[in-house]
Order: sequence, then C-alpha cells, then structure tokens
Amino acid sequence: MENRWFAYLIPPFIVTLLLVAGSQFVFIQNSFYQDLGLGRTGTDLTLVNYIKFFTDSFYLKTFWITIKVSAIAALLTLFLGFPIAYVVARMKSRLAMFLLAGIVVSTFVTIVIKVFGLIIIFSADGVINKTLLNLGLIERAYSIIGTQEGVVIGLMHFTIGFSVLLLYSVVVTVPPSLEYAAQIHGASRLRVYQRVIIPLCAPGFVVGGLMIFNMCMGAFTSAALLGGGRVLTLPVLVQRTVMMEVKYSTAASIAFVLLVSVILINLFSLIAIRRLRSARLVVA
Amino acid sequence: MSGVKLDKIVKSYGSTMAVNDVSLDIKEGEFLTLLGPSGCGKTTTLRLISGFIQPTSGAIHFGDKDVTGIAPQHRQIGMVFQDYALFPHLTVSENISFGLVERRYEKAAIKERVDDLLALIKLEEAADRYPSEISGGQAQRVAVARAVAHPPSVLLMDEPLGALDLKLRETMQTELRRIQQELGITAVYVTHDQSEAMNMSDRIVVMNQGVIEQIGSPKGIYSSPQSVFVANFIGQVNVLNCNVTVQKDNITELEYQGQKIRAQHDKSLRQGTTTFLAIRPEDIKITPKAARKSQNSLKGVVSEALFSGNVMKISVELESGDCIKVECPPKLNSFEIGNPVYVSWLPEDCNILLN
Repeated sequence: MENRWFAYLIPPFIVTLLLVAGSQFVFIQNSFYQDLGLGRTGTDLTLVNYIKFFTDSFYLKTFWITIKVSAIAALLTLFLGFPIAYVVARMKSRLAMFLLAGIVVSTFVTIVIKVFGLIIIFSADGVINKTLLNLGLIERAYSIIGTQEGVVIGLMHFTIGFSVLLLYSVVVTVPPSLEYAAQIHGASRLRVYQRVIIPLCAPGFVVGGLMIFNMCMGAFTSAALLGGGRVLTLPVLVQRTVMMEVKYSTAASIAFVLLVSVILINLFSLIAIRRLRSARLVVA
Repeated sequence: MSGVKLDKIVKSYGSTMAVNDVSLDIKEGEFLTLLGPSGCGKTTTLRLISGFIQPTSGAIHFGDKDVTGIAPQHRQIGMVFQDYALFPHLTVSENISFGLVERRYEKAAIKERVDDLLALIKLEEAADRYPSEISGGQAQRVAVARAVAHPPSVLLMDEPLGALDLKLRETMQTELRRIQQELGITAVYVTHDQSEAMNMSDRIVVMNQGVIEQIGSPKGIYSSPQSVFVANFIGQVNVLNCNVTVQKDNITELEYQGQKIRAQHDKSLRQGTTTFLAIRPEDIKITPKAARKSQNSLKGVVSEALFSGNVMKISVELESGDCIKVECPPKLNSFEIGNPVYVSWLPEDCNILLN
C-alpha cells in the first residue's frame, strides 16, 4: 500500500530535480568554459575562470569581505539575539506569545521594506544622525550606505529574527530548575550563565551561528542596497556580472566558489565542534 | 547548621494570599514536613525559605541571622528538586562538587568531600557517569549529595520523590531520613503525600489555603486532628455531624440523629453547639449485636465490602443515611452486603472538631 502511494511522489520529484539540480548543473557546467563576454562561451573545458578568481586581487578581496561581514554579522546577531531569546523563553506571561508572533511576522516582512526602513533611520536627516548631531557627538551626518558597517547592520537586521527564534527554541530546553539549583548552591547570576546556561546552549549557538552565517553569505538585497555599489559581496558581484557585464561563465564560477566555500566552512566548523565535544568541552 | 524561624510571613500575589501569616519555629536538626494539597502554599513557603521569592511582609531567620531579603546564593542552603535538576553536562562527581567549586574550596578538599559523599549515597562506582546514564533513584541520591556538599544551614526538599515509583519511593524515604540523621541537618520537606510525611518527619505542618491548619508529630496529628480538613487529609476518617448536649468531667455527650454518643474531650463546649465527630475506620468495631453500654453503638446495614489484602474495607449505611467506613482484619470478617450490623467505638477513640 505505502509503496503505491510513494509512486505518486516520483513525478513531482523529477520536476523538482530538473528545475533545481538541472539548472544548477547547467550553470556550474558553464563555469568550466572560457567566458567570451556578451553571454558567449568557449567550446573547450577549462579552469580559466577559477584561476582568474583566485589570482585576481579584486575577486579575492570581495571573497574576503563577504566572509568577514557575514562572520561579524552572525556573531553580533547571536550576541544580540540571545538576551532577547532568553527573556522571552523565561517569560511566564502571555506576552511571550505576542512577542514571538511579532518576531515571526517581522522576520517575514520583505527585506526590501526593512532595508528602506534602515536607510530612512540612518539617512543624513534621519533620527540617528539628528540625535547624534544635536548631542554634539558627531560634526556632520554620517551615512552607513556604502560602508561595510552598513552592510553588517543590514545583514543583522535581516537575520536577527531568525536568530531569536532559533535561540528561543534552545533556551526553552534548559529547565529553569537547573538555574535555581545552580543559584541555590552558591552560583551568582553571572556564574549561572557561565557554568549552566551557556554550556547547555552551546550546540544551539554553533548551529544557529552557522545558519545565520550561511544566510548572510547568500544575502543579496540588504548587501546590495546598503553596500550602495561601493561594498561588494559575492552575491552582489554575481548579480552585477550577470546583469551588467553579461559574463555568464564568470558569474557561474563566482557562484560556485561561494557555494563550495560555504559548504566547506560549515563542514570544518562541525568537525571542529565534534572534536571539542569529544574532548568534553562542549555538551553532547 | 541552624534552626529556621518564620515570623508572620505573608506572601500575596495581587489579591490572592499564597501564604497568609505563617509562623514556624524549626528546630536545629529537625526533619519538618510541609504537607497539604496542591495550592495550599507549601511550595511557596519553601521558596520563601530558599530566597527565590521574597515575603510581602514578615521575617525569616536562620539561627540568629535575619536572612529576609538575602539572595539564595548567599543563604547557605541546600535544595533537592522534584525533577532532581542535575546538570546534564556534568558528571555525577562534578554535580556534587558544583557548590564546592562555587564556594572556592581547594581542589584536594573538594575531592575528599566528593568521595565522602559518594560513599554516603553508596554511588562510588557512578562517579564519572552523566545524569542521563543513571537511574531515577540514583539521580535523587546525587541531588541530595549535591545539596549537602557544602554543609547547608537547612536542607530544602520539594517533593523529591514524586517522580519515583511506589517501591523505590519507600526505599528512598528511609534513605533520605538516614542521610539527614547521619549529617544531623535541619530539613524542610514538602509533599502532598501524607504517608510519606508520616514515615519521615519529626513534625508535620498541615497547610491549607495559605494558612497552617495544625502542627504536630505524625502521631499527634493522626490521633488528634484539630479540624475536619486535617482529619480528612491525614488518612481515612468518618465525620458525623452532632450537637453537644451535656458536658461532665472530660466526657462530652452529643446527640447524633436522636442517638446519644459519648466522646472524650477536655475543652468546654456550650450546649447545643454544632460539632463534627471524627472517628478513624480502624477504631471502629463491627458486630452483629449492639455493643456494651460503655461504647458508642449505631445500627446500620453493610453496603459495601472490599478485600484489599491486609484489611477488609467495609461500608455501613446508618439509619440516618450516612455511611461509616470500617477497617478490620479480614479474618474477623464474615459480613456480607445487606447484613444488619452494629458499628461501635470507644469514647476515647473519637475527636470532636469544631469546624
């Protein structure tokens, strides 16, 4: 019986495979032919696009900036998201449900709208600049658009909701009685975090951190809008290479480098964590 | 180590009084149980002693020291939780040494103390296991060892045996009592299980709706309950609604549905006062004929007879319609449903309750 129903899944599976894997395959295959510009490619298989990527300082710098802003954004988002997640998870009132719902809804508001909100807040005559100017802390309006800080803020804005939801689901697995037990047996609040909450949430930090990092590595809209053409990340570079330079093969190779590097970074992180875990530094 | 004194403690949440004017004097080395149904304020009282919540008014003393307002980590207490609350990322010995590390004991001292405690709870072989790798009873013993590692002024236990099965619970009662006695620690135990309270405690505090109903030794509370609530909560009891007729010496005569009942009672009661008479099922005899005059005797019909191993549980429906529960050894019993019988008891075996 089950096998017969299973058969109905095969057609959608094939369609999905063709659309997703097929297009990926064509795209990646493209990256192994020389780029002749204007959408044309050479006929011989070659690694020339990859060689160019790894020898051209422009590409390498973009690659490095992408990893840097993603890592910084992921770390800051975790730091910022954890207290929120913790407070919401430990709330006993109904308010917790409303807050969670609010976070979920705001997380799924399209990033374009959110980024424009950020741009307004941080613009020359926006709230933040005006306040800082009036307080005399800065001498002239400071724009985040086109700076790496701006891109980091944009990425954090994009991922903070996810990080709160992820960490919330981790914190709720730590029973409050463990905190009481730690406190009653002599631990201060700080020590309770150090010895109980942080170690127990550690696997969540690692997985959550990696997920947010991955989202940042692939984020296009916030990076494009806040980068303002001056800060390039790999996704933005891929889009420009395809849309403005019409160099499909080059773009494909950049995209493939991005894909493989993200996979490798995740793999190495998880292996490193497992090493630590078997050394009993992190919770099983 | 010290005694604990609660002085007119009140804890209110908005208009609800969780704990209402509770005063308690727990002696040094005493095993005191707070007993009552859920929502009676026993756990709130325990949490007030622990310092996780602060009283709305009143004061708490550990020995001579006023600890009201002091944070839990500075109160020198040990606590055992219902779900054990062992740290899952630490081994058994790391769990036990938790408080010692926090209180900056020296390494050698920690090792020595942990070894002693492992011996006390008879779990030396499990020292390096994680809480997920030991059984419920073992986890409970580890929780106790952790709670007493840094000798506490008072050991608090919040329904620690609730999660265990019946057999293990009985073993652990003896075990907990043994550990408490061996260390000579003042212990406050919270439970809703009256037999557990009976088995372990020096004194029992029966609580209901935020107030103390009665304080006394297990025996005292069982044999002379002071209210209908206590009589009903501790063991089985029959309650008859009576009126006081005459009082002479220490014998009170009461009237129940036109029948005379005599009860031993030394407090003076006004004639005509409505009271409740409480009689334990095991103090009642059941006979085919009326008993001698010195006893109280009521006529009825057997309405239910249950055999439950060591005792026979019989219900007798009186002429008034009230039911009397009787417990007697199965050997003595040859009564069947529908048999007309007499239930009788001695005047000293019943208690007059005023509310």
